[in-house]
Amino acid sequence: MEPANLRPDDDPIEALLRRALPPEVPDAGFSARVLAALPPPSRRSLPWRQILLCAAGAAAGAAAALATGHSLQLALPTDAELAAAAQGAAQALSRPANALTVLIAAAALLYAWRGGEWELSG
Amino acid sequence: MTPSDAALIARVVGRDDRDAFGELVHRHQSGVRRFLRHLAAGDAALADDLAQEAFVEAWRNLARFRGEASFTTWVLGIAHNRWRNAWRRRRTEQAAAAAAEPPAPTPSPAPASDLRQDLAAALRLLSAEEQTAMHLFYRQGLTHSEIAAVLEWPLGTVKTHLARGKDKLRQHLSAWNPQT
Repeated sequence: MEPANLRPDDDPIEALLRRALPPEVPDAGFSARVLAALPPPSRRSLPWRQILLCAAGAAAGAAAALATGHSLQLALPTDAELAAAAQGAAQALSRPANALTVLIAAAALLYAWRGGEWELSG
Repeated sequence: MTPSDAALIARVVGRDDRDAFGELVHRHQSGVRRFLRHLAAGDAALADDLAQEAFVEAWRNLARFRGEASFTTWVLGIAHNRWRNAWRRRRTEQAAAAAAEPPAPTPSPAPASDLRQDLAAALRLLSAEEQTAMHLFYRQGLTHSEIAAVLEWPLGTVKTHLARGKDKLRQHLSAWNPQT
């Protein structure tokens, strides 16, 4: 039984509020239920979207190169060949269709590089 | 040595460590469930459902947890949002105004009654906002700033609700202390 007359300087309300803590809620299997409700561990599936976009970008780039009359070669190019290739590429990029192809390839590579952070709808 | 919340969070985010998350849930479940039971007026089943949803949401968003607030504050904020959404759903479903009816007038405490019981009764007479602020401050031990973060209220609003709540309690319980 609490005393009927409490001294005002005790601020019994404050003291009582601080004292009257409700008991801890026992876990009683709650944590286990939460863990069971978590989404299953994500098996890192192949990032097929990035792979497809990368392949498409590479194919588009190769197509653009072949369209400008370049052949694929495995040997290291000479300086003169590089300069000629750069000049040819510049000429090729002046055509809107080629520029668009390169732009698409660059966007696909950028998307792949960012690891699919930008979620596409669907 | 017991790992800190921050260490457990790092394990969850970095290694998908479910045991670490289980430990986090175990540590904080009591506070979250107590808070939701308070909001749900003692409906333990509803409170536990919402608490579970809150922890699952915390799991999904843990990578975004910046550590600016404590994990307690953060997860209580999620729990509060869950409660608000559930309450809105319930309100539209029920369309009844009974829940909004003003509480019954304060019964003056009988001298022989127990102060704790009268305090509990007096707490129920406060507005929902005052009760929630009082619960978080006195029963969860949160600071004014933490309460503001959990409830997404301005700091001044938190202080106002606490001060008003305490004033009202003093009035309701004045029979226990005639000198006030």
